[in-house]
Order: sequence, then structure tokens, then C-alpha cells
Amino acid sequence: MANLILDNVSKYFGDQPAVDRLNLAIEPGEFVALLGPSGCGKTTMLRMLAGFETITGGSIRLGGQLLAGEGVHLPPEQRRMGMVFQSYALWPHMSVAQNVGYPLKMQKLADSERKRRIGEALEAVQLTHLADRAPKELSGGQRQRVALARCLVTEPDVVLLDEPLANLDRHLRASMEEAFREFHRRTGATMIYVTHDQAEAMSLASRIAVMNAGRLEQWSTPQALYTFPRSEWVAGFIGQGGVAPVHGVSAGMELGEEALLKGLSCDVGAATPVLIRPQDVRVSERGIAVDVAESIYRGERYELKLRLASGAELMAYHHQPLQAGQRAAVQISRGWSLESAR
Amino acid sequence: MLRALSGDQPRWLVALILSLILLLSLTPSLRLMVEALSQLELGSESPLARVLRDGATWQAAYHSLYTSGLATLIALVLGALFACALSLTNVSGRQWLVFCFMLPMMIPPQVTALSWLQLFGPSSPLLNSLGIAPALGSSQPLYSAEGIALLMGIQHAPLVFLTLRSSLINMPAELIEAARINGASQRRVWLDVIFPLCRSGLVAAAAIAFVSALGNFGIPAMLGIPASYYVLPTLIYQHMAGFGQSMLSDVAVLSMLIGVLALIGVLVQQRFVRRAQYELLGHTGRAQAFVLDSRHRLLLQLLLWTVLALILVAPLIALIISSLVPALGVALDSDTFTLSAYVEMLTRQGSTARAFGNSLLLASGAALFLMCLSLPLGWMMSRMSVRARTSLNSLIEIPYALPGVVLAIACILLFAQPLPVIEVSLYGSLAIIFIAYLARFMSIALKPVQASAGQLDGSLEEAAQLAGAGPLRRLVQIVLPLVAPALFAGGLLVFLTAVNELTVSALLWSAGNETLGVLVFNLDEGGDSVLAAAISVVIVLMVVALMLLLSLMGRWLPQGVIPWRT
Repeated sequence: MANLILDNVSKYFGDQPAVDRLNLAIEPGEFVALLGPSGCGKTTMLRMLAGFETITGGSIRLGGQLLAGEGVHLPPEQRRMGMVFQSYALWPHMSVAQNVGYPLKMQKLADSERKRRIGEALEAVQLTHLADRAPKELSGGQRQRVALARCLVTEPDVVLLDEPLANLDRHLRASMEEAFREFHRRTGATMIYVTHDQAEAMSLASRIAVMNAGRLEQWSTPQALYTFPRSEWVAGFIGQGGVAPVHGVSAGMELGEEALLKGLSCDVGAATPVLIRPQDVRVSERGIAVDVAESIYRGERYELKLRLASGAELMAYHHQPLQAGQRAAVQISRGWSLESAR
Repeated sequence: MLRALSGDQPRWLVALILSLILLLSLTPSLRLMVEALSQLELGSESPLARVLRDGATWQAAYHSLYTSGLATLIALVLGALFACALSLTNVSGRQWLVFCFMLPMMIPPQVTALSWLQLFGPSSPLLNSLGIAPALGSSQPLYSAEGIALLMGIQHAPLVFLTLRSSLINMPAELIEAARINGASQRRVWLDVIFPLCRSGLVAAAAIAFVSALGNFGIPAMLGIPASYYVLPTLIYQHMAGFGQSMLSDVAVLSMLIGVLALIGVLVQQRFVRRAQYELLGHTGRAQAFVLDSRHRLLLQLLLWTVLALILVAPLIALIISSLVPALGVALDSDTFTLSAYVEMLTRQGSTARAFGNSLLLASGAALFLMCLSLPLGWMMSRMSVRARTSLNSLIEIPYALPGVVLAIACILLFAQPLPVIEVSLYGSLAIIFIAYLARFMSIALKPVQASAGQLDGSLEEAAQLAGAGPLRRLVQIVLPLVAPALFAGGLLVFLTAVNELTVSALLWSAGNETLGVLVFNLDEGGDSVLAAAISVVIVLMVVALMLLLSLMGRWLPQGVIPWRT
């Protein structure tokens, strides 16, 4: 097991940066998500880790071994990494067992040893009974599990997953997430998981790298990302809530009820954007005056869109509907001040 | 450049394949140009000036343009009729209609000419059998410019059909339905929607039909030479028989002339094909604009089958009848019926067996070689940048797009001298025909592989790469099994085209090295039409069998690989 170090990694297509000076230090056995909107460079980063793309600048090291950079480009077949592709990339002309066994064939393992390991890998993903089927006879979830088994079989140090749940329906996703967790627990491999779905990233990863336009926006645990987002962009991308300008505070401060009441009502000096999560907003008899913009029924509760005097929108939950256009008052128990959007 | 192209594919393989392509597709045309433009310093005595001064050149050029132009019109009418009927209406039996309509394109031109000759004229066994033959001594109406144009039009109508059909099939039905709901009559829909939308397709179709007619050798040779009506390809053939001192330079100039005319046509075609595709980009779904009631549908089907009966069935019946009588001019009845031509073909004629052998050897050799080349080439090209791929494709297209005579003359020039270093002369051997076939049919073999390799999900190979498979292993274990059907279809198409080929071999054959195409031509020229008819029947059967085989493979192939399945 070895840690994976990305040092100032850049990728340019022509003079367009796809990935711009990315720095990450990933601990051995960590489950990391690369999260960002489409076109943010996360898939390019993953393909550079695998070795399908060369890097334009910086370096990638795995446990002290230089994989790419400084004139070196180790080809994918020598990196000892596994990958689960979005399309699963199962070879249609091979059976399930042949697909899973192919990496072992490349390692020139003896037949008996190979059979044993194919059996183990298929058992781990509960597909032993389908070993002789062709990939096209399997369902989406089963194909995904074959792809996982093919990764498992060589016991790679690093497993790369490229939006592996994108092609599955919602019901299957939950059970596949469980399969990934189980896979991670069993192998202890470092896993790098690319996704644009924040819920997926939050529930799977121990640390998340949020990317935007080729740059690393924030690199922290899911809890920290939700509670203490660094910038306005990350706050808008992760979770729900509203951002309001608050006077007399600076970025990176946790604000209580008093500070918010004061900062929201005053309008002298520079304002700083402050993230206010819906669970911290309570409709009450008195407090900060708001206009109700919208009231949407969500089953368990009503979701309110409220407009502050400054025009900023907040979100709140309430047990009963309010009339649009009606005036109301709220108490806000917590806010987190952000860096302004670039 | 190699580095930019190859990714992690082995350099030596990339270099080997690229130089082979350059050698096959570029050197012949370059050699031809050098010869045609040689001795310009002689001024008015240079080959170029001499040929351009010759009245025969201009007459043949005029004949070429006249017959090709007329043939294009005929091809447009026939092709458009079938394309519209089969793509826009609900006629039934489409698959068979398409198959039969495509057949004339696959049957070699000299066989087409031979069968039509058996259909008309005083010695037609069919007309004699029916008792309606014209009086002896009356002329064969097909020995004329119009006869040539008619047959070329029929032979190239499938090209128009294919081009037009692809733009009609992509036309969204909503466009036509929108016009109808806004009050346009059927006639207005044709004028205001369908025609404007497929106009580019129509121009492209006309251009490709024109270029093919310009390069057609078999039909003007069989129908024109007896009437001393020469077009450019047959003029070259006649010059070649002359063996004058300056003969080679003269035919080089003539070839370049056809080449330039054809090139203009090809450029027009490419331009309009691109435009037709662009217009319809983003729309899918098949338009069946006109759902006919059963009476009209029956009428339309009747019309289509009648046309097919006239242009395909009747000449083939005439051909079959001719092969079953002892001599031309004899009517077929129970007394005259004989299989002697077939017996003679199989037993006595040494040249027949030899020609079959030569053609099968050439065709299967070319098919195998090109399959082996297409696999790594198609794979390489699927990884190239669009621009590199486009230019390489145009390079490979050159020997296929240029008329066969041009390539044949170029090969003669290239191999007239013994090869340097090894001192082996290819001229007068089967090898020269083989090399010409490789150059000419490379594009046929490559296209299906390219289509199939282009559809492969890149991650299939990447997964193998991560598993530790190097490039050659990936090519054999991952790519080959997945593109195998397309590779095989490409090989079959090459075989089908090469086994009947006449134009190239007519100029390159030598005693003992004749091909099937040349054999039919020579037998007919020598007056042995019955034997020629028997051989032609066998050829047609072979063509139909191969086409059916390809049709059966159709469901494993990407769309567009087999021309008559869309």
C-alpha cells in the first residue's frame, strides 16, 4: 500500500487548461471522490492517473514511484491500477469468467491458480452462477459487478471508478453503493471515484476533492464540505440553502443568531456572502422580516423560498404552507461566511 | 508525424502500413502524371500537345461526355424512382426490390452488355424463340451511343439509388407532416419540402453516376467498338493495341484527361454529399411520408417490378437462352436445347479453366491481403485526429475513384521496366494485375472495418490495457474478434468486385494470364457468344450467391457496410 501524490498536475489541450495545477495527497486505502460539474476536468484527471492521458505539467507519484511527470510516462499496463468504466467495458466476445480472468492471463498465471482466483472474485460479487454467460445476457447491475470482479481479481493498489453508477436506475444505485463499500472494505485498496452526483460522493467517500473549471475548489471530508464550504461556488454546489450578504464579517467565520441579526439589518461597509442552511432557519413571531416567494409541498414538510429585504433568497422548512406574497419573520441560528465567487 | 498518429501503437507497424499505402495509392498516379507531362520542352511535338491536337481525342472526349451525360440522366430517373418509392411509401417486399435493383451494379459490365445484345437484334435467340426476331441483316440497335448510354444508365442507377436513399431515409417525417397539416397538397409537399431537402443528394448522386459512366470500359467496348464508336477508355484500349513508339506517352496523356474529368466529378460529389449530411444533422427517424391505399400500392409495386423485369429479368433470360442453344440465331426448342456450351466450358476450353483459376486466385489473394492490411489500418485510423483520418482516407480513395483505365495505364508505366535491384519484371505477369487490384480495392476493404472500429467503445481497449495487454495483443484479442464480421464482409466485397473485374485486367492481361472478365470479352469479340453467355450465366450465379451470403451476414454488421441493406 502506498500513498498517491499529485503535485501541481496540469493538462492542457492546445492552450486550454483542462486540469490546472492540481495538488492532492491521498492516503493509502482512502476512498476519495473527485466531484464537480461536467467539464470540470475530473475525468481527465482520472485518465491521467490511469495513464491514458499524458500530463502537461507536474507529477504523479505512487508510494515514491514516479508514474508521470519529469519526462516519465509509465504506460497504463504497468501502473497496477484497476478501473471500472462508465460503460463497464466488458468484452462482448468473452464470457463473464473470461472477462474476469483476462488480467490474470496477462500476468501468465497457471490455469489452476487462475480458476481459483476467478472463482473467488465472482463469489465476492455474488455472480458465481453466471460465470459462463455472455455480458449481453446480464442486467446493468450484474454487468457492473462483473466489472468490479475484473478489478478485484488482480488486487490492484489503486482502483479508479469513472461515474460507475451513471447508467443505472435509482433503485440499483443504492445497492451498488453498498457493493462499492463492501469492495473497499474487502480489498483495502485506494479508491478514486469520479462523479457529478454530490449525494453519491458524500455517502461513499472519506474525502472529497471538489473541482471546478480544472481547479481544485476544496479538499476535505464530506462533513466539512457541507458545514464549512470555502467559497460561494462550493456552497452553491453542495447541499441546499441560501446565500445572503452580511455586513461586518470576514470569510471563514461561523456566525450565531445575534451576529446574523445585526449583520443582515445593517447596510454600511462591505458585505460578505454567508451560507444559511434551511435547517437553521425557523419561521417565528418575530425576528428578521422576509417575503414568502414560494411554498412547495415536499411530503414530509413544506419547503419555503423566502426573500430578504436585500433581495437575497433563503430556504426554510415549515410544517404548514404559507401564502406566496405573505410577509413573515424568521430566526436564523447559524451562518457560515464564504469567500466571494471568483 | 508518426508520433502524433500512433499513440502507443508500435511505431514499426504504423510506419510499415503508412508507407505501403503511400506506395499503393500515390505512386501510380504520380508516375502517370510524370509521363503525361514529359518532354514538354519539345513544344508542339510533346506528347501532350500531340494528343491534344489529334481530332480523335476530342471526338472520343465528346463521345464520353455525351454517353456519360445521357447515362446519368437515365440513372437519375431509375434511381430516383426506386429511392422515392422504397423510402417514402409503404410498398411491400422492399428487401427483394432493393436486392434486385442493386444486382445490375454487381454484375460485370461486359456480362450486362452481352445479355442485352442477346435481347435485341436479328440473331437474338430469345426473339427467335418467340418468333419475333427482326429480319436478318437489320442492325443491332444497341451498337450506338444511345445503346451505350442506356446500359450504363441501368448499371449505375443503383449508385443514384444509394446516395438518394440515404438522404431520404434521414429526412424526418415531421417535416412532411408539418407541411401537410399546414395545407400543402401532395404535389406541393414534393415541390416545397422533399425536393429542396434532397437536392444536394441528387447532385451528389448525379456526379457519382457520371464519374462511374466516364470510367466504364466494358459497355462501350462491347457496344461501341463494333460500331467504331470510341469513348476515352476504349480509345486508350485501341491505342494500346497499336504498339507505336510513342504509344505509352500518348495513352498517359489520355488517361490524365479522363482522370481530370473524373476528379472534377468526385469533388462535386464530395462537396454535395457533405452538404446533404449537414442539412439533416440531428434528425433521426424514418420518414414514411406517403401511406398509400392498397390499390395505389399495388399499382406502384406493379410499376417497380415491371421496370425490374425490363432492365434485369429480360436480359438475363435472353442470356440464359443464348447459353442453351448450339449457335446464335437458332431458336430454343426441345430439339435445339443443349448444354454443350457448359460442357465445353468445363472440359475442352483450356483458357476457361485458366481464367477461372486466375480470377479466383487474384480475387481471393487481394481479399486476404487487404483484410490483413485493413485490420491494423482501420484500428490505427480510429485513433487518429479527424484531419489526419480524412486526408489518409482521401489518399486511399484515389485509385478507387479514378477510372480503372487510368490506374491500369499507371501500373503499366510503373512496371514496364524490371524492378530495380531485384531485376524482376512484373509486366506481363499476374503480379501486375494483383498490385493494381490491391491499390484499387483497398478502400472497399477498409470502409467496413473503419465503420466497425469507429463504433467500438474505446474503454474496451483501455480495460485490456489496464489488465496488462500490449498493443498487438489488444489488436488480436480485443479488436479482431469485435470487428471480424466487418473485416470478413469487406473481404467478400473485394472478392465480389475483383472476380469479375474487366477494366484493369483488359489492359494488363497477357497470354496465359487472362481473367474471367477478359475471357467473356474476348470470346464475344471472337464471335463465340454462346460460350461467353454460358460463362456469364455462371458469373451471375456466383454474384447472386455472394450477395446473398453477405445479406445473411448483415445483422452482425454496422449499418451501411452492405450497400443493399439499409
